[in-house]
Amino acid sequence: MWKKRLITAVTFLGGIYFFLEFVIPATIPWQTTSGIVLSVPSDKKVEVGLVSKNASVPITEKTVIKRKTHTGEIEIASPVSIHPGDMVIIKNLSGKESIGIVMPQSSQRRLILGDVTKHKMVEVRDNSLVRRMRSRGSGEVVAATTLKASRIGSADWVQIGPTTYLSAWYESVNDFFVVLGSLAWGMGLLSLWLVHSGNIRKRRPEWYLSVLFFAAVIVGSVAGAGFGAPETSKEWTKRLSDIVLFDLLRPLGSTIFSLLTFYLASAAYRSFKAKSREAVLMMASSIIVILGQLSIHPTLTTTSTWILYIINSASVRALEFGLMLGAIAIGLRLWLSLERGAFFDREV
Amino acid sequence: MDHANTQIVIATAAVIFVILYKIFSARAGREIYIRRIAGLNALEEAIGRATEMGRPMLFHPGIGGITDIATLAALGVLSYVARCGAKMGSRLIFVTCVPVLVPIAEDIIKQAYQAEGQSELFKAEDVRYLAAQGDQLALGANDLMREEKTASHFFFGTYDYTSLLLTEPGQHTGAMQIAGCRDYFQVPFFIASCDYTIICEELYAASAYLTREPTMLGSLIGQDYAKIAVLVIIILGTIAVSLGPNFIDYFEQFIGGPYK
Repeated sequence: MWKKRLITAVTFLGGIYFFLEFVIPATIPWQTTSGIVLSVPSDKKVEVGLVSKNASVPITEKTVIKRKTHTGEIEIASPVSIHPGDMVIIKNLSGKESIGIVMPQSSQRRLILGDVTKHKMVEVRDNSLVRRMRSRGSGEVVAATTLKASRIGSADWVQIGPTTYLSAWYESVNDFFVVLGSLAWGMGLLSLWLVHSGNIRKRRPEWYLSVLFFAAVIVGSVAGAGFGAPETSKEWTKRLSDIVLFDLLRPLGSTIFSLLTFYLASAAYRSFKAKSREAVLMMASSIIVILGQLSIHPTLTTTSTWILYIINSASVRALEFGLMLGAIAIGLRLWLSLERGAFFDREV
Repeated sequence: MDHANTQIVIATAAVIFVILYKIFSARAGREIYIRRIAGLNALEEAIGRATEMGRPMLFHPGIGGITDIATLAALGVLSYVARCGAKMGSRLIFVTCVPVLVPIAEDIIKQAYQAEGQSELFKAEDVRYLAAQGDQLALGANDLMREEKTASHFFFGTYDYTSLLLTEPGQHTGAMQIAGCRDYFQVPFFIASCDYTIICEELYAASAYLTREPTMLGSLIGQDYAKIAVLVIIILGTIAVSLGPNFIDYFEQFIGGPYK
């Protein structure tokens, strides 16, 4: 019973950590400064320009975006290369120009521009977290003690504030689970030992393959000593490692993969039998999609694209929504140990 | 690590609240209906078939680790298959390429056989770690299908291209095969080579469907309510896009920023 309670407690604590780490920001929101770096006078101080929104500019593939570089030169930039903090000049189709600093709320479809309205000197303390914002996500964490070494500079959009510590523990918590998982490798080896030693002891059919297995384990372990050695190494373990990995395992892997071709053919043959109405529909759409790739006729290509990108995408997205919600529900049941009845006994 | 914005926090809290509310109302004794899932109904048929033929069954929980939700759902199905198999006196062979699953599966199967008073049918050797990689495992599993003449195969969990390497040889042996996979790219392969296929999200509903426990049924209903909410947001988004750029801006602000 105590083992199950321990599992329940570890599951709950692990779950609550990851949940809180996700919903609670990395820095205390009301003490966080967000803006563009103007200068870094020392490793402990950053001068931040606070930016106010002045325009929201829709962009397309045809929009010309000019970006001011660190040296003051103007370059043409693609929407994907734009980062928060970049100074840009955008000319839309009607010829109107918008100038400003790209804010983090921007997307590849719409840029939110702003101007520096205030300057603020932010002190970086030991408990501060400095994040450099990128075009996606929550930003890259910059080590607070080595601001200059991290090459943080003008045109970088940063968020600086006291850490909530949850993100700081992320790697340690992850490491804990990695260690737990690594312990299980022993169980895998034990399982292999049980099966193959039993085969040899009881002289089951093809027991000599089990002897071969143990020989392979020994050879693999010895070869492991040479893994990662420099290419120029003349050590025999390195040569053995290369033989095992590149001359044995790799070709064997390719052989297994090539089997897939034959299995694909036999599976396709079976699924192309019109056994039911659904099978006929599937067969018809498959034929259209296959022929559409061959550019036989424009109508076929259009229909094929329509099936792939309209009907197929819609159903795939619907499946994804369902999967995500299902994952939340099952995760919640496991986190709160409501699902234990499905795996073990009902009592915890 | 990414963090949630305000809208995501509200949405997460709302989904959790709905699911928990439905779980607790189901526990209070409210009647719940869920639609029939053919693949899950066929599990008993497959187990019965193996028992009648006097041959073992094979269970593979995919290639996902223990932190993979699909693997956890597969373990729920494993528990059911083991319990039914034990009840009917059938042997179950479990194969995996994830070592951490070995002790867990061993515990699940052992408890199922013990619960049905068939402890002598359980052998630790039947929980097998075959290889460290999916394709190598597929070869080992094919050999096992041939050698043990398995009558029913169950493939539940996360799969990659190895799905067909496992199920096609199984099809050739004439075994009854049931698969459940959350990766929609692999679903067509399973449909082509298995007798029954549980599609994507149905896998997450499997343990609820099989055990009929109010807790799990309640969470399924909660999940459906969350789906309705997502559907409403999709409809609002469609209307906003149709009405023009200003409405898109309003909508983007409402859902917490544009798609990046």
